[in-house]
Amino acid sequence: MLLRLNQASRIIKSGGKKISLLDTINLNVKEGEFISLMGPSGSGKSTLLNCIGMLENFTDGGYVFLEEPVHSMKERDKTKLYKEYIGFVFQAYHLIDELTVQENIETPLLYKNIKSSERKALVADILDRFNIVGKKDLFPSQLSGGQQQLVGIARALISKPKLLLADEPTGNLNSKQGIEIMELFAELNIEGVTIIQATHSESNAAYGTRIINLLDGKIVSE
Amino acid sequence: MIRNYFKIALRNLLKHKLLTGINLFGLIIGTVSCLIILIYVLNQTGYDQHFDHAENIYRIETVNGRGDKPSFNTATTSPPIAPALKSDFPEVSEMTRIVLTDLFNVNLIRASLEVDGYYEPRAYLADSTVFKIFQFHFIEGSPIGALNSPNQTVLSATLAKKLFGNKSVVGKTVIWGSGAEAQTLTITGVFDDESTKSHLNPNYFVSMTTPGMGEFVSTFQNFATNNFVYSYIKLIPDADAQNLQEKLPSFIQKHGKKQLENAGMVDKKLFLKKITDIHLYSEGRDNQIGTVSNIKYLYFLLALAFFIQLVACINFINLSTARANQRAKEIGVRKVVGAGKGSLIRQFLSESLLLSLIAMLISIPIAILLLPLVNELTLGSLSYLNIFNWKVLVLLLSISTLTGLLAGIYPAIILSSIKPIQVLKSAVQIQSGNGMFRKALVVFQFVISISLIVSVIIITQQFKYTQSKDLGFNKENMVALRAGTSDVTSKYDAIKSNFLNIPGVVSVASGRYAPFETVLNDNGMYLPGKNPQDLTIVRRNGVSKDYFNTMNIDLLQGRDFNATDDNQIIVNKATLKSFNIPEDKALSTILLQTHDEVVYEYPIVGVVDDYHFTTLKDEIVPLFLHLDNEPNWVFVKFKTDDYKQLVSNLESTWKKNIDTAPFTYVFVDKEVENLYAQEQRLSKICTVFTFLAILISCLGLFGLVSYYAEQKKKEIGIRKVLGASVQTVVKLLTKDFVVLVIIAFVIATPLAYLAMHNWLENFTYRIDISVWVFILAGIGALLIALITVSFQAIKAAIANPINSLRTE
Ligand SMILES: Nc1ncnc2c1ncn2[C@@H]1O[C@H](COP(=O)(O)OP(=O)(O)O)[C@@H](O)[C@H]1O
Ligand SMILES: [Mg+2]
Repeated sequence: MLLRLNQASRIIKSGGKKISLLDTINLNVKEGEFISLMGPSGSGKSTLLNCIGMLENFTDGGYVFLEEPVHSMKERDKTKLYKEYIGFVFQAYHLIDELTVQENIETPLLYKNIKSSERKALVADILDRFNIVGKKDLFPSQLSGGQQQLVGIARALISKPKLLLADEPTGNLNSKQGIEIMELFAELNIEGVTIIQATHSESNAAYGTRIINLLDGKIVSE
Repeated sequence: MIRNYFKIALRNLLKHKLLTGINLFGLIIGTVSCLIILIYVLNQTGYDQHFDHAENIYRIETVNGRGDKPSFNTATTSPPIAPALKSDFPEVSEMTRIVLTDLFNVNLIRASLEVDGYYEPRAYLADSTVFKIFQFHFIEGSPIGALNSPNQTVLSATLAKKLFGNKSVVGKTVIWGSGAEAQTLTITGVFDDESTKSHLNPNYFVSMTTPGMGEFVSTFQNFATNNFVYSYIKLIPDADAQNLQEKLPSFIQKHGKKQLENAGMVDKKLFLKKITDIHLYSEGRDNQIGTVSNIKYLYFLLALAFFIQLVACINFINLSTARANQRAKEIGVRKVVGAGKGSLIRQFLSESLLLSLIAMLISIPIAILLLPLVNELTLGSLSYLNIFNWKVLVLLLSISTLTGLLAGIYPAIILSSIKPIQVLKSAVQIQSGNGMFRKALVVFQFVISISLIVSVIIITQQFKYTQSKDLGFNKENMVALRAGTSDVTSKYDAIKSNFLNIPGVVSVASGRYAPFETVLNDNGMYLPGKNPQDLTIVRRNGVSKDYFNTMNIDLLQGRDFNATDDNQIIVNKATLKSFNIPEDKALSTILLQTHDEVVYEYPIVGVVDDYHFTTLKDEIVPLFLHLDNEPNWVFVKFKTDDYKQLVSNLESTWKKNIDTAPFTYVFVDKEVENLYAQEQRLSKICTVFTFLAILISCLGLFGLVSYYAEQKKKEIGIRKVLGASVQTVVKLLTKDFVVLVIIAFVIATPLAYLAMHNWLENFTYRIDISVWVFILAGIGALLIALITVSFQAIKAAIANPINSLRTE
């Protein structure tokens, strides 16, 4: 089992009122799954992804990742954990504007203290695989949206994560670009990467092996 | 990793050119200031350390409290003290004495009677042991035995060259003095006088046993009086100087109890001063042998450099934290892909470090270019060699590194604390750092600027005051000609009448001391019927007839001198006051002085108004003048605009009459102004730094406002669409900053007042600090800030709102 959520909730206080962003979520994710989170805007998809990605915390319930209890972990250990096993892809790509394509992709490796020669080799491989070798010295502002998202995915994959979290990865793309990204995800999934993506689109969700519907922070159907 | 940090840092710096420009500019100014002040301060330290075992060499100094009368406090001692110390105390291994002969004669020196001579000051009469304690590098001859016999001299290389050209000079003779007092001296050596850092700055040495003053010093045995000898002792290694110091009171009592009582100096105390401390720690000790600096002055300069650098750092801190929003995304993303807080802190620190190191590299050539200006301001002789010195470079690198860390650490901590989730949820506004903190820093910058403005105004006012204060004599339109040879003495009357025939010459007089020289001679005097040991110290100047009308000094009572006067004296009002002599009794009063058990009588024949015969730093003390026909100066009062013609007429007349003394002249008003050169330099230095501090602060403000205007672009747009006028928008942007400057003003006022009040205490005659200075400084700072801020604010206010709204 890759991760287990047991009665996990996220409740925040806002203006004296308690708001339940996520409500008693139970979810088991096995390695190799490709899960699509669906639901209307504001239903809690992003919040769930962020919590699974340890960028935000569940306020209640249990979260076990690779048999480690995340809910009782210190911030520092969580950082170590997600640095090692989790890759993120964002709707707004979130590339660093000041860095070239190549440097953006290389960044996660820097924080893992990998030798320069090895970094170069890994980056070269992935550039090759994504067919963006020609773009390696361009800056994000010089790329189209689809190309930027490719770079974002390349960056998420460079450190060989077990789990890829993607929050509306095609939300800013046209349908042709969207299809390309989804096909890439399917391919990655076949290669063994576990993927959880949030999406509005039925057709994108269909690439997944399992669909979970959220409404008002609750899982309403699977 | 580091390379990556620097690469990104560089791209970031290039991308935000305005901010980088402001930061870099401030840091360069700060670093240049630091560098220049650093080399200046280093140049002022390390004096006298090159002498063998300098740490064991001490100068004996004298402090004499005289009951309720002003104490005297001098770097010199009575003649027999140093030899007695050597014979009394085994830990004193060597002693030497130096007499600065400039105090007694004008030091005319010639290669032979046939050639013109020069007035060469800084002639040291010295014991033969002088070179055992103070090693000078001999270019010719040898220090061993160089001053063993009477009439021997050791010249500086500069003087030897001036007198003899490039010839070898050892064994040759020079003639020192003129007329009956002329002495023939044999040259026994030449020393290198290039750039040695020492409080001693000899032009030439003459053996102490030479007849005249030297002989007097060698044989004089009174431990109380004639405190004009510089006495040095060298202690054996490991000697306890403190212990020796404690034995000095009984030492002086043992040798001179009776003499001290006779001279009215029962409180005379001796102090040991490390020679390595003389250059910087001699405040309050009069009669230094050369110019000394003051550690306070160096601290003041260091503080200025520190503040400038701090102001520049604040710009960096403020501008970096203010634009945290723009960087938040990068930070969030980096954290998501695995960056820890530590590595982000390192990244931001490398940005500030990069900037401060770039500033350092640029500051070196700038500092080198500025050195001539600096030398003019400080009367220094700094060169690029002072910069390319490992000590300076290491210090500079440390300063720059520290600056980078200081400027970078706060923004680094703030920026690295940004949580990725805040950024990824985009629309959230990052509250970067504490707005209060940023405001406090702006206030701090303006506190410094306003304090500096106040200081500059007050220092300049005081300087102007000293320049314009009525000194009690008229310094304008007067030349002073160097006299001081027997020739001038005997031909004075002829010169005077010849001078008076020159068109434009109004009157001619002579004197021992010129108005720009501090009168050092003094007599201990008392009134008839009073205790001869209860002495009042009265300064003494010898002058000619017509001195007072030439100087325009008011003769309040009595008469000017006439040719038959001998012991008759004219006193200033301070003397009357000091002796409690009623004004109407002045002309019937006689002052007494006892010397070697003989009582001398000085009848008062005139009273002059108090005039400033020392600088305005000192109070006017009792002074008497007597008729003197061995002048050091001839004063010529003139009324003409053609100085050139006047001087050339004076010169040809002088040459017709005098063949021993060269013709040298100065303008009295210039020389008087020079007395305040230090204050003038201080005011210039302060002005420069004030300007820089304000410039940097305003640039910072400019950057901050640009940032706020950018941030509030949308708000401004909406307000304008809703009908807000340009004025209200400008007000919106400037209000906060105006409040900050006002707070700074409130804080700066008492600080600046205290500092300036303290500084003015140095002057007996000083300006009052006026409220207007503060109001002026406050309004000035406010105006400068307003102009800076409104420039950006107006730009933002008149922008078309549609543009800013559409970009959202
Ligand atoms: N920090 C927060 N404070 C208050 N409400 C929040 C906060 N974060 C998210 N929300 C709310 O939680 C709900 C779920 O948001 P989100 O997870 O972004 O939904 P989705 O991604 O499905 O559109 C939304 O109604 C959002 O407004
Ligand atoms: Mg969402």
